[in-house]
Amino acid sequence: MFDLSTTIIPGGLSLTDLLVQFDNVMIACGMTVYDSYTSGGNTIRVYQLVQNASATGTVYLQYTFTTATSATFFSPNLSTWVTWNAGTHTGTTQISQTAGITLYPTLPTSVYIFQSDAGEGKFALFINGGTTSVTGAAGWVRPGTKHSSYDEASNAFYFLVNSTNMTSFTTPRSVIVSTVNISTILSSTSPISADNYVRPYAPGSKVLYSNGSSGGVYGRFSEDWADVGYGSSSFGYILQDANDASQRYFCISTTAAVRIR
Amino acid sequence: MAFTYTTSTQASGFSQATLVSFIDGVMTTSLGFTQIDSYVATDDFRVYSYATNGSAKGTFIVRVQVSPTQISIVAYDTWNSGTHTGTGPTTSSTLTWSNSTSAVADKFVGPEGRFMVLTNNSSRLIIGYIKPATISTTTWPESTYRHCYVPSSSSMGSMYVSAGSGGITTASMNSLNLTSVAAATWAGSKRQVWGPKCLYSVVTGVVGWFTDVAETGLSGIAYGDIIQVSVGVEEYFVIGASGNSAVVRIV
Repeated sequence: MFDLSTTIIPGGLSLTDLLVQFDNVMIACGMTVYDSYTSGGNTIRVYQLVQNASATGTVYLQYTFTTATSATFFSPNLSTWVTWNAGTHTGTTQISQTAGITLYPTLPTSVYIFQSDAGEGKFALFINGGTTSVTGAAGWVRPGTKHSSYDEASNAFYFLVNSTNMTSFTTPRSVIVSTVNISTILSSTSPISADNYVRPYAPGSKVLYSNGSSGGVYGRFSEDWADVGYGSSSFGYILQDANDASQRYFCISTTAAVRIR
Repeated sequence: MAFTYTTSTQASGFSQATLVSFIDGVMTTSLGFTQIDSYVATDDFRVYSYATNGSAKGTFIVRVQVSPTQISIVAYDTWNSGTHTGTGPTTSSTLTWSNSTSAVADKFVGPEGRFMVLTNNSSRLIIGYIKPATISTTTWPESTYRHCYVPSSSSMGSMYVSAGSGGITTASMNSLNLTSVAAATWAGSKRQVWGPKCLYSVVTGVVGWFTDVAETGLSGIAYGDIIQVSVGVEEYFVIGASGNSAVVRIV
């Protein structure tokens, strides 16, 4: 199951104060603040994510906050690195670049933090004040079951959250592919359950895959992840299993829900 | 538990009567159906049933119609052999047959279905049913709803059902539609098989999960290929070589 907690980043914050809040979110996602410095007028934070002791088990996430946009919002650029030297503020082997989060210092932001007790992910979804859709995402996911032939010594088996709709994830240290997708079953816009409620469907069906020449299905999530009827769901819906009302799922996108405690 | 897989062949040059007899033998002797009606009304008709359990909707009924040019199948909710009429017919599936080629029946029997894939005249028709191992009998009890599905085509991408869950008449089989995956190098250059597959409808959502019906990548596969994940331990027969890439476990 996932422990769900929420926090509100107040509006009207300076970048310095905003970064304190951002640090706390990243720490909740299982990271540590590894480096902090300024360069070229930009403020930069580096977070260390240690997944496991395997050769690919550690990665560094470098967020660059460009001050030019700070009047209304921050859309930090994200780079990931295999190693990082906090003394020289330099890293080796830049793996990928993506931007998965936008912060609005002028308006409050609600942050939903999901922490799996089964090791299937720690991630945060940001919703800016005045909107109802997710405006930012950070953290990582890891399917509970890994394909038996997937060599974690060569390819990281944790995937960074980088899209607000949680449909694709980046592979920080993989020689196979750079992006993987999460599967959906209910491609229709209309399915709701037989009792006319939006329900979680097919818990345990979610897989991470890539449709390329080196692709395939890399892993499968546990029953803590479920499908939802596309178009009949919305972020923040709490869905009850049709056959067991004690099983509650939180709608994190239009196509996915996670079981919460 | 896997499907038991066998095959039968009717040599080319056969008559319509021989074709009817061939299908009848496969249905009754190989697949275990009971013939509950047989009549001629311009075309040859045979009606078969199989009771998967004792529930009111636990019995599958299918009518096979053979004309001088076509084989057509329709599943029913009920059948009256006195009047040769049924209720709740599904949409029909057809194959235009020819005696210029042989007729080959690949036969599959297991806990999740009894069916043949009939190949003739460069076409295929699935006669019989599949039934997911895991169904929600709490929401859709078999006293009211049937869980036996007829694949509408040999791709196994969509299904017909009579008195289905929540009253549905069609269902779809999920697919990741992975086209490029052939033999992933990171997986030891072996073709992947993943599953299980499920059936769902836009009305009722997921209506059942299989254990012996799975999926593979579309690239480079053909009907009848055997994918040996582990030789003699886990093997799959490729049926849906286009559209759905469905495979059924035979070992």
